[in-house]
Amino acid sequence: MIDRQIINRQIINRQIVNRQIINRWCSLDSGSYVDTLSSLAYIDGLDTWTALAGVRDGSLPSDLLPLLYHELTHHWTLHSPVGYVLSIAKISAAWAMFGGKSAPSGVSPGDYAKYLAAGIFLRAWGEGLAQYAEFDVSAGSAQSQTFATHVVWTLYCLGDAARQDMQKAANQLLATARTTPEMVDRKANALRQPFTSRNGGYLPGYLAVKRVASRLRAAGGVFEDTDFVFSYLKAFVFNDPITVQMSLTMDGMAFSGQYFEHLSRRFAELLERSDEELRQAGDAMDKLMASRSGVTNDPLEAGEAQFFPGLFVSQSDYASAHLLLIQRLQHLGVFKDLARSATDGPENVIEQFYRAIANQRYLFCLSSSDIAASDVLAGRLTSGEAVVLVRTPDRNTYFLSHWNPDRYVEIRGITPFELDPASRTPVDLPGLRLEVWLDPVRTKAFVCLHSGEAKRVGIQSLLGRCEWPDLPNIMPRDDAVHLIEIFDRSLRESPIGSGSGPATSLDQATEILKERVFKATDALLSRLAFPGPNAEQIAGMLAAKGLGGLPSYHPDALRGLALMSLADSSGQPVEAVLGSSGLPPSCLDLANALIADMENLGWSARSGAVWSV
Amino acid sequence: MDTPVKLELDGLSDLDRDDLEALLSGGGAKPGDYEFVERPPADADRAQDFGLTAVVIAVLPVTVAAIGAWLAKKRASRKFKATVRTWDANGQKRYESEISWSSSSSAPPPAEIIDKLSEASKVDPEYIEQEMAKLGK
Repeated sequence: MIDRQIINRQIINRQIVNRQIINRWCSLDSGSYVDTLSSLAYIDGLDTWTALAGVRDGSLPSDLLPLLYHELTHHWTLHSPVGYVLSIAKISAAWAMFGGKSAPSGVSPGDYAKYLAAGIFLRAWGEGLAQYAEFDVSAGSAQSQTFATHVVWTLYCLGDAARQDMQKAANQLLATARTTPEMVDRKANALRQPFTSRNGGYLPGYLAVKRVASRLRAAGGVFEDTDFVFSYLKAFVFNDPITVQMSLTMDGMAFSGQYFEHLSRRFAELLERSDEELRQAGDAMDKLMASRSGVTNDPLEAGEAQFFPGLFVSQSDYASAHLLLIQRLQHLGVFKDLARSATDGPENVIEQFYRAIANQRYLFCLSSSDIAASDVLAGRLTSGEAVVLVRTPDRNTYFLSHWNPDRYVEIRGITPFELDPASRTPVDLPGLRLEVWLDPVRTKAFVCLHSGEAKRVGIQSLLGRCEWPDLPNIMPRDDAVHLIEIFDRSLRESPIGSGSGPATSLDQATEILKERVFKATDALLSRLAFPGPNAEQIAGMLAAKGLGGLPSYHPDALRGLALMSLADSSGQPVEAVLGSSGLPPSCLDLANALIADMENLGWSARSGAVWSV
Repeated sequence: MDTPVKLELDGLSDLDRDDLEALLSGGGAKPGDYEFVERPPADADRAQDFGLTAVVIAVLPVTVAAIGAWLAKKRASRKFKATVRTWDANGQKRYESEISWSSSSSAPPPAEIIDKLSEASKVDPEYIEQEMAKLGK
């Protein structure tokens, strides 16, 4: 059972930096991830001062760009109607198992079947999109721009330039970051992963996304823009109103049976459409997205914002799905007044937990670091405003507004900006932690100093004009991470059923279903990734070691292949990338042998000008 | 493995593993002289996710030279981090040291890698250097 005291104690005694959230979507061999229940993110290797200065001054490390792009893509895909129903399926199963009499009506342990069925496929498709973002996407001629690209442009401080200049600069930045020896190795390692959804589905997801993308690009028009293709393929799956309706109206077993039929039919219909139909669909979506203010698509926003023309679904289905989603979230207490529910009894611990994480799921935590109390002082400006002074690693002072729950004071606008020297007092608070949070939907960012006991001490906006509602009262990242770990473990390990037989955990009880879902996911992704008649044979050959299973495999052959495709997506000559890669020229000959292997299997490495790997 | 002294290098990707395997077998190591171990994640809940692999070798001149040649090849990477550990015949840890760099210009020169491996394995540094040169070709 989830114990309220444990949860409270964990909130109060924040003591962990634990990167290991289960059911999270990761970034291959780095420690970065985004969690499916909460959309909480972790970026490996980015300390808070670097993140803070990077967002403020546009000086984020450029070699971090592909990784950031990867994780922002996960956050973007999960902050969607389908991402929400995935999260709802999991919390509903928990409500049913732990909520007792206080559980809302309509929840069932069987909801976990929905989470498994959708989650395993969505993870693989999401990893495919995230790798497509990392390795392939650049902005082109479409009128609209994707959310992830927009955020990356903004973060790298290109936001003030003209659109055309922004595109050029951002694409150049991506091209440089993609052709480093590390990225060549990273892509080669991605192609060496097993073709199975059991390990997250990196390779099947990527190859499926690449092949469907290749079909769309062949249709021409707006699909010649890889950034638009990326956006379309995200929306095709994660903004699909039929999936939302199915998940919110069917029971778990029925959903897990029909979800794959729905996906198979939907993809088959897309791939059978004529070039003309696809171009029209793409144009319709591009025009509407470009006409919307900015690139926002908050899944909770009402009305037309939820409608995506060009995805071959009726507008009325979007409206019905949105209504169902809002009603369900209301039913689970997500929109309840936080202050009022604070006095609820222990039976509402799940409601409180879910409300807390649901209310901050649109935010992306870029970084989080401990700060010594000796490095923090409280003080006042001569104008009277309370401020917090934090000593930076280079022994400068960073000023934050003192946290005021009623209003946010933008201290940067205060003149003269003078500290009253007599006002400086030590801050004797435990567990101080400085965090940088992004609001990618509204393209805002802020830095927040928390103390232990999950209290805020200071805050400062970093991007854009900021109002008080832009700075929500979030749970510190590591507190949230730890709570989610407790929740996940409790959910999966707690005994289910009340019979006299041996106790069975949810994990054990769903083993057979999980096996079925892995097989269904692998079968669907192999049909999407490879040409029809040979799909099964190719998938079988790549099952254990990815492209490492091809007869001419050598690690440098895969590096050569990765190098060629990255050079292509970066618009750089292969010879130039080879020159800076440290790889021997023979890697290109070895790669050509791999390409010949692929041809022999009836699987072309290139379709026209587009790489299929 | 029945070898009295073992050396482990962790933090390998699948591609690293293939590279090392080629160097080990190409350098004359027999299959029983080394093994790749999937490192169980620190938390059992991570079992579904990527685990990193470690290579454990019997400390023989050929296996140590292969590790050296692999590390020398990795110097082209801007970032690298791995830990070398050795155990004696009784399973007691004898040596542990991290090899890491954060830019290719900060990568240790080959001589430093050779010294570290020699210190860990007690294999003659000159021999490691000679064999590394052969494998690196």
